[in-house]
Amino acid sequence: MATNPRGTFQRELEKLQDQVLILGSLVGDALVSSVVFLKGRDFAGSERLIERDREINEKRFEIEEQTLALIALHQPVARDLRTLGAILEVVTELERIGDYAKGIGKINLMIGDQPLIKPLIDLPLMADKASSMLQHALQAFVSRDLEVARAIPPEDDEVDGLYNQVYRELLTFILSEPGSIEQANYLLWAAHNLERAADRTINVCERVVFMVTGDMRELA
Amino acid sequence: MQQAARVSDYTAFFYTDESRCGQLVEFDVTKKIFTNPEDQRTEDYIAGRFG
Repeated sequence: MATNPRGTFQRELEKLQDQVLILGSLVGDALVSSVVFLKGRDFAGSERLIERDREINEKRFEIEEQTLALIALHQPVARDLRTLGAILEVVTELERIGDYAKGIGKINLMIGDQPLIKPLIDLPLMADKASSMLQHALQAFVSRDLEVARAIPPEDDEVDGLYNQVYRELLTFILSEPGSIEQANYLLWAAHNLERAADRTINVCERVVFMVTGDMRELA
Repeated sequence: MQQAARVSDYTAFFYTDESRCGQLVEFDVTKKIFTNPEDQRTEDYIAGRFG
């Protein structure tokens, strides 16, 4: 019996989407863990996290390669082509979010044995929020859910608010205790990474909207 | 079909079902038809879901 090319394409596309979800899950876990390790001063955890970024990068290249092969072999058009274009964009965003998590891992190692200048309260909240936004964005991606994709970007205000709070707090520390400037700078960098992770999640939402409607525009 | 997309400026999609032959479903610039057609039947046809 002859192979049905459409069926093959559909199956391959579903496999790719599963791979994107696996990558998303690795990245979401890395983001949350990076702050857990920073807060718990767990250097071994951060070292494992930095090492696991390699796995994230490899998975991203694997998906990219399979997507390009699918484009070359099946020459998709319209929504199918937008979907594959979206996958290429989404895996790039995920890989970058993975790099932000790795960056926080490095910050933990750079702070080293110094005690933290403040208890970390807002950074874990930022990580949880960014990770939750990411998981919802990926669900919207797989289920082509426009409503969910459009509801996520306003949640970024919460992450931005937490970032501003961390910024003000660290600035106060620097002014009152100039010796804290180095660590405050590291912690601010960690907050910046989390804020950017949430921004990149919005890019994922924009791709969902583009994939479903063909309309490319910024959501935030 | 890919050749039609490459060489044409405009594309029309005609559809035949049990009741009628040669219904004009959609006509537009080729880029629009092959990237984001208006009619689901056009999308399904160019994506190879039938025909």
